[in-house]
Amino acid sequence: MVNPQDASPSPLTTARQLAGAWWSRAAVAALGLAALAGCDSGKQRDIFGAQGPSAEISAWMYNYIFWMMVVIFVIVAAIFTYAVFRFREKENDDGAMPKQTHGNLKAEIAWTIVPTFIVIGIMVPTVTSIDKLMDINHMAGLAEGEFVDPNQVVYVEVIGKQWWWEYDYRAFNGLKDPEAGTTDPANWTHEHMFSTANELHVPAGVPVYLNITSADVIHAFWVPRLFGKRDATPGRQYPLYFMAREPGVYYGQCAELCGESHALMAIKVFVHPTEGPDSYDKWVESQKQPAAAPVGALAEQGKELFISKGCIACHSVRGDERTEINYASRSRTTGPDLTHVGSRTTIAAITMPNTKENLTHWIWKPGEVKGNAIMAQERYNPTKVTEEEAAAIASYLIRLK
Amino acid sequence: MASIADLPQSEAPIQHMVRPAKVGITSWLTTVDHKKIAIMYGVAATFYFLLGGLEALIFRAQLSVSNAGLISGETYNALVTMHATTMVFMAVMPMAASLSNLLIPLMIGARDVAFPRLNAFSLWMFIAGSLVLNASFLFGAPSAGWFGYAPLTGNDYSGIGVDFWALGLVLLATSSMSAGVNFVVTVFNLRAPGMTLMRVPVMVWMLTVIQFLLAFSFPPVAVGLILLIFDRFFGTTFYLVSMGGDPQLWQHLFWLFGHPEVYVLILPSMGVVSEVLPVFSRKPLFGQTFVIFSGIFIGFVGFGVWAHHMFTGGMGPLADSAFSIATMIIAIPTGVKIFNWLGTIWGGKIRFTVAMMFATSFIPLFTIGGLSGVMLASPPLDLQVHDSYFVVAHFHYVLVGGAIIGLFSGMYYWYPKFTGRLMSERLGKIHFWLFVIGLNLTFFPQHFLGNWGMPRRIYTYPPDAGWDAVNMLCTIGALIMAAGTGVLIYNMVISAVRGEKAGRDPWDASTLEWLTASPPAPHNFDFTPVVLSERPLWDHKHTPGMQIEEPTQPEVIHMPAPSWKPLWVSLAVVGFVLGLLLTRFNFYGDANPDVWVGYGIMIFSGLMIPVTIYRWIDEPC
Repeated sequence: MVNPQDASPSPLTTARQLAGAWWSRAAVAALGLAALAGCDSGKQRDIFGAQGPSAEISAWMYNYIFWMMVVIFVIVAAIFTYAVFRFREKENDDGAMPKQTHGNLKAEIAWTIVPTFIVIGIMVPTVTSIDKLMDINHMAGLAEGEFVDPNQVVYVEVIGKQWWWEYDYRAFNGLKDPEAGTTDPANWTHEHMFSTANELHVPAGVPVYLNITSADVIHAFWVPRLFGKRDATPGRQYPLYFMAREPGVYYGQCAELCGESHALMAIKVFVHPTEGPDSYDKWVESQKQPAAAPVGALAEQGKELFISKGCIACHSVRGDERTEINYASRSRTTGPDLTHVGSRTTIAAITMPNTKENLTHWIWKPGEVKGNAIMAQERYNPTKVTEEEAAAIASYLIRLK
Repeated sequence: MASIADLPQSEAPIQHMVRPAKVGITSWLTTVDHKKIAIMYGVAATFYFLLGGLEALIFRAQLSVSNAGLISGETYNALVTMHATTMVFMAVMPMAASLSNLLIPLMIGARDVAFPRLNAFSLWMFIAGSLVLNASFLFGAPSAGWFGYAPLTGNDYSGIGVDFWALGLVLLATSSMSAGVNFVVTVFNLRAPGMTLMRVPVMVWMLTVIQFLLAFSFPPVAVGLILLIFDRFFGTTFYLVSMGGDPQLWQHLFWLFGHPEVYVLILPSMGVVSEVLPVFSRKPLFGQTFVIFSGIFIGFVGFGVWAHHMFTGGMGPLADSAFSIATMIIAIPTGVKIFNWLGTIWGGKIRFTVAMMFATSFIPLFTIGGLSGVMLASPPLDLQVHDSYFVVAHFHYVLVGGAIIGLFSGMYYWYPKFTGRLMSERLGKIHFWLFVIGLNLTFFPQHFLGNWGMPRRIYTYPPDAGWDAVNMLCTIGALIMAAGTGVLIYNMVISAVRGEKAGRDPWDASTLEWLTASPPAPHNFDFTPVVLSERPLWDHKHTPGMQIEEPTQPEVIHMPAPSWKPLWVSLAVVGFVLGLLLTRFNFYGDANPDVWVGYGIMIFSGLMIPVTIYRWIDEPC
């Protein structure tokens, strides 16, 4: 059976938890509203553990409306409770009719006008927040009238596929219309650098521009602590701007029903520091490198099997023309680029830790790990491998750091 | 104080123009009597309510712990798809259709609906559609979700289950559209003398609003479904991106139906509550005009909010803002209703029968669903909780805490009118407490799951996400609800046989249906009552000078004759649909299906449709 396991939660989560004033947390918890009322529960995917402007706007909006709704509910519930107990028919009822009130115009006007003002009070910040979320400059923390430098923005094309995410990292490559200037992200063009899958790497404190689309059915890209979800619709591109404040690891998953294994289409985001040995730039440099040559007889045998068993029909390993798929010829059934698959912490869209045993199992019996995955379908993958062959291929792949 | 016993009873023999009623099963197959049709809708709806609940219990069991292996992803997706489709189209809607059928003619003082045979046709199309949908379980049930987003419903990604789903829904759409037209004509033409539109009971008003919604909202989804059927059967490309189609076209067509549909599900319950609260508070409804007009307003604005289901779809800031504002505006008339109901029980003398317990609990439960709905109307917030368990909690508070609770109230309240016997109050109270506790235990914690990032429709989740304990709580709640439903079913069955005799007016009610016998005679009223106020029966009993008078001359009563024709037309339509489905089957195991068998049946049935319709028109009624 599937065994989803993730690395330990970000240390930041616990730090944040401790920072909250204990009495405010206790008061809210006493009301039984802790998670509803916008406190970070410390859970992996809590929408209130916001770690960047995009998720912070959503969390702020949530709390703003939530407390208004709590007040309204308390008023309704108080009137209701009072009426239900106060106006019961008594044991010793005299049988007289209660006063036959048909209505009260002043009351009607009051409870039409007051909610109207409440609704207006919700509409105004809603509309301004919609604009902020669609503004990369706001997400980058810039003041009004300041614009991001497109060279500084990390641009990733996110492509949803049944049931994994393809990330196509691209570099800024000039403007579509040079006279229009750089202020509008829709005017930017980008060129392909490298592709990776499921584990998204971004730097902290730098604006990120994800252009979200799909190669087959509709998916939705969602990492609760960083940003709300956006649909990945085939034939459409949906820009998502966000910035992660601090380095850490964040989790999310596909949020739109996309077929049998929709539940096994998770996302893991590594936010790197901008400096130091674990910096984002170092990661990019390592990903740009061609694949390492196989070391050892088993790995060499694995590479030959990788070619002869037809893995190369869908999977690309850069650095050897026999295993490299031309980037432009990808289709909806093209699988993850495996050039640096050994450097990923998980496989099969965060379903399992990336160990040799799990890789072997996944290659040998993909349908057991992820029902109806492309690799498990006869029409896309007619060649079967034995357990030994799978182990050889795994030993080749796991070394592709 | 006059009592119901003082009601004028006709002494002269009533002159009927009724053909002798058929007996046994034939009497049900050929009936055009709105009360019999109501009973058939009600029985079918109850059956499907149990089926939909069973589906939910299976997948709740799967979700109660992380990494559970009870059912596969495909089975899970099929169960959630069929649970929603069943509950919406085959449980709540026919329950509302059952109440519409029973109550609209009785409450407006009519003998039947305007087009009795069309009414029977609606019933048979509903039965046919529901059977086609559920037959899919034999061949691989649909698993693309109840709103079936293209292109997941396309041939590349979904099997034959979606064919059953799309064709079954088209049949149900036909049923609802014809019923909608029928009831609108009935309400506007067959009201008793003196019943002005402002004297029409609020229940009938709400049911009328939903009939308008049905008549106008089903055409878009029927179009969407037929485009899908063409894509799947005949190779068109309406939703196929690679050929220039657009999957968002489906979303717009579906939600242009789907959101008014939400009001179709909730307005009948608002009508029930507006009838039950005044009767058991022994007061008139507070601000009746405002309740009626807010219902009409909700119906109108309900057509302008559909794209709030698509805030994550990338429509752009302008469309997001517009649909967000329109959605929030709906909160205002809804709030007006809530406060008017509170005003109704305020200062009354409340008798807590089971019907009243359900009706009062509707107020806070529906308020929770309504308030979380206002939250969802804000796109920045919706981006986080859309398609998460927060949304699941929201719409279950609206549909179970609102629609189902309201319908239960109506069930206890009008059961004596259906059967002539009262339901057991003791069992009813057990049902009430089990169900209300169960539903809060199931759905309230799901708000938390949503906030903790659990998406809906996932069949499994990892243990370190931290969702285990709360999911277990939800499953326990679901079991308690199931126990409550079991008590309800036992109560319905046992009370039909052993229940206390109800008499005409067990609740001291105020509307005209309680003027008739329980169950009512086929012709409903011995004479047509003249209506003098919005509470004709109440004023008859309690207000001097407002009695309902019997006319001096007995009326000639014309009742429509039973007919086979609606059933024949339905069978011809179903034959056409089954023929189309058969083009997908292969009887000899070759690569290509034996399309000629299916097309043969299609051509034959297609020819029979105009023939049977002509026979229908030709038949005198």
